[in-house]
Amino acid sequence: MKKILALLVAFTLLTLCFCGTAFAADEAETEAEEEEETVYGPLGFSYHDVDFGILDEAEPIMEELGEADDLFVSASCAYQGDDYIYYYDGIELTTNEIDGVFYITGIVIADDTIKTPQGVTIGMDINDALKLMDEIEEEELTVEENRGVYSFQYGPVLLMIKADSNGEITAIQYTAVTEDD
Amino acid sequence: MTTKQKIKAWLPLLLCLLVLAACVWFLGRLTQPKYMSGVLEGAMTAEYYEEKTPHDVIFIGDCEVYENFSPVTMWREAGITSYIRGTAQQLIWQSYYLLEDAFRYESPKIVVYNVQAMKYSEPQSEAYNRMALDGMRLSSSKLGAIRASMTEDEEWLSYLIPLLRYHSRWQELTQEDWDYLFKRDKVTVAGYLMRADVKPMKRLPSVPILADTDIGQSCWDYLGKIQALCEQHGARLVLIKSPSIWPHWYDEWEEQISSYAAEHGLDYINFLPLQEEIGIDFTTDTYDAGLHLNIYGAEKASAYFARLLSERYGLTDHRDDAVLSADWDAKCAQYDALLAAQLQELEEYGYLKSWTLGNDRT
Repeated sequence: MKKILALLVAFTLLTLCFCGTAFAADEAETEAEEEEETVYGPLGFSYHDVDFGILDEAEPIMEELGEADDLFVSASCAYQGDDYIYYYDGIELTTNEIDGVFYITGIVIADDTIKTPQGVTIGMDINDALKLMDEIEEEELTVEENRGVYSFQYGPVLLMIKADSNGEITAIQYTAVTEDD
Repeated sequence: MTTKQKIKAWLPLLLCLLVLAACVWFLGRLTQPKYMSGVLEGAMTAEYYEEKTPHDVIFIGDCEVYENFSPVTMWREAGITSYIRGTAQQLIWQSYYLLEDAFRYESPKIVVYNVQAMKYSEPQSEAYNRMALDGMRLSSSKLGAIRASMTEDEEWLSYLIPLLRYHSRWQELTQEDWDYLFKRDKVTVAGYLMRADVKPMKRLPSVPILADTDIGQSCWDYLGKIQALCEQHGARLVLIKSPSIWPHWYDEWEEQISSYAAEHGLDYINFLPLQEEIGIDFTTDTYDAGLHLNIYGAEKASAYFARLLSERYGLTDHRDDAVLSADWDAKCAQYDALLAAQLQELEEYGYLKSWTLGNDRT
């Protein structure tokens, strides 16, 4: 009887594991599909477990992020109207109104408490950061370097990482590529 | 056919063309934005032509000149006659053509150019182009400015025949379009757009990364043309970086401008490191958290600059000149009335509701 029970438990656990794996695989597949649908692809961002990226609609993201610490408004160089720059702990989010809807058009990592999803942070050595960025398997991701500024572009999204003359990262920002860029 | 018969045959057609041209002109005037409320900057270019007396100093540049310097203060401080031919996001080729246009009417001794706009080396926005150029009188300078400024989707003819551009405003016409069909209120005093409200600077955003910090070649070309134009008319060109602390002024730009000025024998004054000396306090002297100075900051910057211009370039104190004094007394009165009106609005509403010089608005 004990043997039969043990077999049943083992079978049940195996079945659950299989289903779980299959479900996880489905979920991963769905997530991958969702990721494919975003314009930012591998250049998405995550802050306090909220995943978002450039050109996402701002309102639902900001609802999840909670109230910003402060707001700075300035005439926009890239868009009609104003830049709305919201300060959160460790990041700054820029939003712009395009055809009546506010979109996220800039994400700036403001200090070393926040990392990109790849693990890049302010103060890191640029060579270590490049190794981390190199792990992104995406053929459409392009990389350029100009006087210590490394630009990673995927579609309309640009991740810029700036290093000083010692190779230490001093600034990290995501922006939407505009006609000026 | 006799001449009389020819005239008789062509007259109806000529009359029709004349009536058509009059209609196009009238409808263009009606549908063109008036900039008498909300965005006032579009009304600034045309105001220059109403000036009655010449100026020793002409400013050219973007909002960092027309918000940060007050000609009335420069008059009161040192008897300097000045005018600001500034417009919103005035690009360097627009500055060049607006200066060329100004030289048709007068011969200033000093031309002050604010270098902030040299970060743009290509046309940017039709809206700003319109605000800078629609108010220019028809001249070769205006045509040149249009050609240099147009973005890809714009048609040069629509700058000359406004109806082509603004006909779609037909359904958006408001009472303002009728009220200001043939007249405009003044929105500036000698080109200075006054703001008496205060919004302290608390925290500036992180400095954005620039992939390329080189100032574009077209900007250098136009700066050279501005210098040549000044020399041709016997004026001295002075480059400045106005004391606005945002958008960020990059060290790389500073180095390029300083080098250019030194190489070309130009004076360059960067007001940013002079803030303490001038006495600018960004908790009280700005109306938008550091982008522009309010009247309190502009008066400090202007008093400082007036003293500097007088001492360095020996500009004449015109306060004993009866004709100029009469004109500037009138400007001072307008200035004081506008400030009083703005302060009254701030007391009444807590914010500036309207701030043109029109009696029905203040």
